[in-house]
Amino acid sequence: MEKLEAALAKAREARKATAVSVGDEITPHEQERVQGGVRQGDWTSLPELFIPTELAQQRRLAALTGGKDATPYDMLRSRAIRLMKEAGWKRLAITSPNAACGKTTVAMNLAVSLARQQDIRVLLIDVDLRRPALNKLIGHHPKRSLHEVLAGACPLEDASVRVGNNLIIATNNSPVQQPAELLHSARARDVLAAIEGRWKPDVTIFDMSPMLASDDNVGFMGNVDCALLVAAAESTTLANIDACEKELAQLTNVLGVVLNKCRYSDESAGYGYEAYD
Amino acid sequence: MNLDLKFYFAVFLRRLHVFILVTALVSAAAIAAAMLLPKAYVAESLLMVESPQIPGPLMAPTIQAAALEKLQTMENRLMTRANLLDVANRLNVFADIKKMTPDQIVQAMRDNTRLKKSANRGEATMMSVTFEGESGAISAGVVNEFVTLILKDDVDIRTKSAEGTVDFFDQSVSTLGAKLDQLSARILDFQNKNADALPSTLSFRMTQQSALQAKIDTFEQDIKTLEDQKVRLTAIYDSTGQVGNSTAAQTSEAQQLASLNDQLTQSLAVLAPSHPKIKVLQAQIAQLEVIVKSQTQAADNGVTQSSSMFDVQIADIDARIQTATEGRDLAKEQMVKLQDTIDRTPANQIALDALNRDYANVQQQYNNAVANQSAAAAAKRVEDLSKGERISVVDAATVPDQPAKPARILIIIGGIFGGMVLGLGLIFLMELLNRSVRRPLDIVAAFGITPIVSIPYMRTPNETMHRRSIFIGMLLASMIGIPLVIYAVHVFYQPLDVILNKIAIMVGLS
Repeated sequence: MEKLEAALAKAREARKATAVSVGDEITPHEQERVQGGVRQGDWTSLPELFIPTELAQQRRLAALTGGKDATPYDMLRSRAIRLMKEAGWKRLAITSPNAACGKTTVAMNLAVSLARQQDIRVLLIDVDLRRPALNKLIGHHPKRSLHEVLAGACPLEDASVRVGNNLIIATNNSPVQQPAELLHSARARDVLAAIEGRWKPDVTIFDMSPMLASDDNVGFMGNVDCALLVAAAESTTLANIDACEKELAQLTNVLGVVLNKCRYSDESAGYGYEAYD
Repeated sequence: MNLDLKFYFAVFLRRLHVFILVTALVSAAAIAAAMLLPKAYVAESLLMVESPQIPGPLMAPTIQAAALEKLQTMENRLMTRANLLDVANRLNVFADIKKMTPDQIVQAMRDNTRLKKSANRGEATMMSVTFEGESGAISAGVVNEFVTLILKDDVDIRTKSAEGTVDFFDQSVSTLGAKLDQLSARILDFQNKNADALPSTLSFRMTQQSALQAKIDTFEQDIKTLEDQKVRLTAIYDSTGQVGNSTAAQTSEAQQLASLNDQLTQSLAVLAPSHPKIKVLQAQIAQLEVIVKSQTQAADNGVTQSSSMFDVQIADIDARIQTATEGRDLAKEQMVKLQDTIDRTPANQIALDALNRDYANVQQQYNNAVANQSAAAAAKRVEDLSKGERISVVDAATVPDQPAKPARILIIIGGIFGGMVLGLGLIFLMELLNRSVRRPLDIVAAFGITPIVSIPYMRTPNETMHRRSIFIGMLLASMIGIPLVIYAVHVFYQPLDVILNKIAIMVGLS
């Protein structure tokens, strides 16, 4: 614990020096005020996607179906939002050491869970440009891809879909050849800032690529405020977690480690699997 | 701890498929082995080394080998290639013996034979001969054949050893006897050669020596006396011309005449001259005077009557001296010889002692050999009568009517158990090699941080259905399959009632 805290503190110090201002502080009040403005993006103008329950069940979108399976995501949401609010962070990256740890699922569930709080607007962006998965997860293939948005080829609307009133999901419909360069580019950073300025999300969630698979994250982590590391039980090794966590702590603030696909709970889990109704 | 046990059980359940797979595979292999292994019939015979029936102190055995040593010797003499091949071929021990090489036959015989010896202190020495064959008759046959060979071998060893001992002592007795004869012949020869100088006659010869000395002395004395006499006679003769007094030369008639004259004189003093008696006397005297006269005349007729007398006397003395001298010389000669034998006696004594010592030594050896010979002969008689230590059959092999192998139940239970252990071991190994995290506690333990949240594994409805269908499928398969297997066993292998009966017998219910 001390190790992590020390690492976090160190990273925070490092970041303060080169802190990138992420637009103005937007409060719900301000958002209320600018809604309907010319420059502001109109959330309702985006196409709404309805995810049927069957699909949600098949894609493990527990936050959508509710019930006891939604509990851990709700807890993750509450803890994450508390920590982010405390620190004033808005951009959250979700990554993992290896592929198939459930980043996209966790990201989507977290977004949905956050969006259930009507006063929080959530933007979920798929920046795993090598193997885009979010489009498959929600069963929606946009006209244009997010990497085109990042490259400045088209606005966010073309790659986005809206779920409910306060959740925008921006996805890709095809992989890109050289994602690292795109993600590292200044243009991408500007585009992100512009998007944030226009759509005023309270929380932006980035679904990242696996850390050990590519260098895509290394440059892009500078654009986010904090990160969650998703580890898959029975597949991710302790050494992987250790290595990624250390690297992540150098790049950004580590919000914590999420242990996904956990088949065994214990005292440290803090809650049972029974729904607490 | 309680939690950990739960966790380990959960891990085990997670790997249950590995466990079930391994257990099923090993069990199936064990069951197949149990069913397919050929039946083996085991026959056993028990042999015992009997102690001698005549106690050792009374009758020393000719074989001193310890019982176990004996059994080991027996075993090695039994399990020879020639013996095994002979028995295998004679009893047709293996069904496909025609196809087997001699090496294979010998190896198979060795593999199937077990000779177990037990010889603990204070316990009877036993040996069990066991053979595992394709049928009861063959097993029993082989075991009995082995037992026969062992018994024969035992008798051979015992009698041969006893005979060998007797032969040895016979030989040494005859050798020593010959040596004795030779030595006594040498002693006899020596004694014959040195018969005059043997120590045993030494004292006799010493006596003889002194007797001879005395004799020599006597002869010397005689010679001296005679020579003196001769000198005196010569002197007398030279001085007188006479040889001693005349009376010495008187004849018997002259002496008678003188005596009659004396008688007449005496009688005349008493009696008258006319007395008849005097008359008789006078007549006798007259008669005698005539004779004496004639005699005297005859003597006087010789011119040198006296010198002749002297010569005769000297000659007589000389002859006597001669005789004495000869006798003395002979005695002296004897004396010399006797001295020689006496001088030789000590050397002879030593030589003879040496010979006698040799003889005594050989004699002693001979006596010992004779004693041993008789002991060995007695021991041989003991062996001939089978009263000594011997191997006897306590329990002859009988034809087993039930195969001893394979122990199907045991193999199957062992296989299942082994499969379970192997499965558990495999799971343990997998978990040992698996460095991945399993539960939040792993992360806490490794890094000291608690995961922000741990999300349970979620199954999609499809997955749940899949799992359920697999479970139901397996359930159905077992529900249909097990009765099918039982049915197949009943139809193709053995009717169920027979099998149940067998199991009941095995378990001991009936």
